[in-house]
Amino acid sequence: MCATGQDPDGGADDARDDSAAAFSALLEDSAEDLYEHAPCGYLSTLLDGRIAKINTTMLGWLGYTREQVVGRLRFADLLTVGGKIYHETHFAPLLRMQGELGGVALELRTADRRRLPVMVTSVVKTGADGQPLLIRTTVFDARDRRSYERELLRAREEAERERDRAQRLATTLQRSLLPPTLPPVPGVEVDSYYHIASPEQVGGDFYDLFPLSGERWGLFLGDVCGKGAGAAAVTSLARYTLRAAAVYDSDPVAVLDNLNTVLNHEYHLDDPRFCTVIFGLLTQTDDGCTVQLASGGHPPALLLRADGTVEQQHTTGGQLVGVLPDPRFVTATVRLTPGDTLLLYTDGLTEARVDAARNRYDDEALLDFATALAPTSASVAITAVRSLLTSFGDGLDDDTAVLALSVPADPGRARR
Amino acid sequence: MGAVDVLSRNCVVVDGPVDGPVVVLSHGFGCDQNLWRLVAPALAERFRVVLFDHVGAGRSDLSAWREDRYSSLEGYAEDVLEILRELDPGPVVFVGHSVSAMIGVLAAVAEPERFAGLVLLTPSPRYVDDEGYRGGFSAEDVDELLESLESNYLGWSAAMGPVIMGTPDRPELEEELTNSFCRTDPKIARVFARATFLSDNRADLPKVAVPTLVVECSQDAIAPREVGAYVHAQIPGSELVTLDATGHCPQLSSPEATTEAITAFVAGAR
Amino acid sequence: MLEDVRAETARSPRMITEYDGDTAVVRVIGDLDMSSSPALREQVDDLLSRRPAALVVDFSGVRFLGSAGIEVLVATHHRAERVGAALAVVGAHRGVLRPLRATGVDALLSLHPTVDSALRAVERSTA
Repeated sequence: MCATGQDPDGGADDARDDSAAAFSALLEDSAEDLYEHAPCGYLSTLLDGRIAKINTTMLGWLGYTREQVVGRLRFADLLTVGGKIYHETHFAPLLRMQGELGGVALELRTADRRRLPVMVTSVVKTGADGQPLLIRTTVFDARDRRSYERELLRAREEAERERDRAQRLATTLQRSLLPPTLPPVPGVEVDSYYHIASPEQVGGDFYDLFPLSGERWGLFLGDVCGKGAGAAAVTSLARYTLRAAAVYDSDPVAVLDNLNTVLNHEYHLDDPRFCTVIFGLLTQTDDGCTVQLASGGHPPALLLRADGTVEQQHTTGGQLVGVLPDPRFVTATVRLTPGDTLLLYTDGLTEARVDAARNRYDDEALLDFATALAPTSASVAITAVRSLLTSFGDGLDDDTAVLALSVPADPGRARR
Repeated sequence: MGAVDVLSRNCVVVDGPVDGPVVVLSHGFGCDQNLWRLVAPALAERFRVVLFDHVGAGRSDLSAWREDRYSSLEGYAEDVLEILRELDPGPVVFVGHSVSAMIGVLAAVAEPERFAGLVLLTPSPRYVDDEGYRGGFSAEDVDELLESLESNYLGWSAAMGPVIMGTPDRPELEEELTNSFCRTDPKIARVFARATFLSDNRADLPKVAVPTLVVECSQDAIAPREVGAYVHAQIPGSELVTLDATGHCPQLSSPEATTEAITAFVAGAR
Repeated sequence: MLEDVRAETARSPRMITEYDGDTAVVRVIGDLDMSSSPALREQVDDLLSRRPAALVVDFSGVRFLGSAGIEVLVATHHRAERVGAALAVVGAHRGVLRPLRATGVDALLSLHPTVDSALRAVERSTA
């Protein structure tokens, strides 16, 4: 450290002598002086809190004389009122039970009413019989540390506020992307559900159902690839484009073509945005309805028949909307008679992980699920899918939208 | 909620002779049922002792905590009644420490038939001074307390390290105890502190219709003697015992005297 | 134990890149879903920014291809077109073919059963 012992001209001995002198000077430093002028505050209190001994450093911080303190004040009297309550409700009980306590932040109130942030550590000294005798406390000046901590706290509060804000915004935005309630369709029961996977992120699933003219209704359900604000903007664009296009020309393929043109136009190669959509044109009939479906890359709709069978609608092969200048869309026509239910869903459902090996809940599992359910109704099917989604727990990390239509077995019982 | 739900929500622990008089010990703001550890064993020799943690404290079910329910003492009082309904032990002596004294008052005013008596340990119906009333604190003091709580969260988890409750033979409990004892989610602590220190239950005191014992300490920075006298004067027919003890937690600083006071009262309330 | 390994594989797809002349061949092993697809996106973006003559994406080791993985393929298709790199995708099994067909993306891509046939295809188009 100080003497090297390598000095060739005999200086090593001198150095050793100096070092020894310094050491003995240190030894002369009395324990009493060390106690009084240590770079931290010391105090000893009786079990009732009365101060029996206190060092000069601590008195200097407080601005009190020894006579003002010893035998007259309790430790809690040296604290701010808030600190006193904290001391009585947390510090003292814990110290009693544990025998020691460290790193607690408190504030001293000095003689001239200033506040001095400190870190306090206390130990209960016990007698030979284990009975507590007195409390020894060490006090460290924590002004710098406290201002640093305050910064940390402030930053954390700011971050929490930001997160809340973002979450509220995402939820509001999400809600604005979905119809508040679906309008009633005479003779048809309609129900829907939207599962939000993450409250922080706006997902890209969407659906709607709206009247066209006379006995005709438009309906759609889709999924914009990606998440976040960019996907939300596309979701919003897709939803109003589909509605407007259906009013202009309700042919399902024409509606999807229209959306494709808009997406191609709005989002160029730098930032291609696309989605899967299934669009339906519903026409009411005497005993139910027909639905002409067109799909652009969307999972096939399921028809749950009154006789308990389930049919996948063959719309596979329709291409994603927004990718190609002239995509191919695939159509199918479904006839719903009393007791039939049509189920549309997004792939959050079939991509959910169902076990530790990350196997997926796939099309086959969904088909089995639907077969067990059939015959059913829109509201019963939606309730069943909801509990299925809940059962996935953490395995479900994408948003999922579900829309169901059914023709009541007893036509008089159509709800909604 | 079903029986199991309520009892596990509040981490209810029952000890002592099955046919003994039932004594419910309810902890105050700051810690949890461990605060009774120096008096509970002695009481359990003669009485059926019921311990529990308020929701948000100790090992209660934190997921049951809701800000709207627990931002006033009524929510805690409702919990006490739910516990009593589930256990259905007949009239009990309810011992409430600190803020739990007023929680007991609220519960006993709502359903007096469930209470054989109340022991109010270092109670205060209002901590903040008011015209013609001295609670001992100003509104600014309460803000300062909230600040004190806040500044201790950073070092909190590490500082509360030492093993407590004498379980060296069960090291697996160490972490659990370290993390739960007297340690509260910052938000929950803030809400409980507000509910405690901004409450005003003075008007409820005259409505107490069960035998009541007020226990105060001779030196208590949180509930000074004039507050103890006020509570005693406001509750019809109540008794007042002043323990020669310092601090706000006589069950820790003077466990024998506290046990004695409770025991004498329970015997008399029978 | 086996499950652990498979889960681990799935969490972060393994990607091995080799060059065959001016053609980058990236072999992907694992699941391509919402959580794992961004890593593939980064990798192919990085490869394309080095302007290879062609890029072969080998999905024969991909067990599950979700919509997020398809999104990466479509984006890669556009990006490759823009930088003038030929793109070929390897994948002939159900786990990859089925979602590609369901979304019609199979028609967009040059799909091949083996890396060899993919390499021959890109050679022809860059020649």
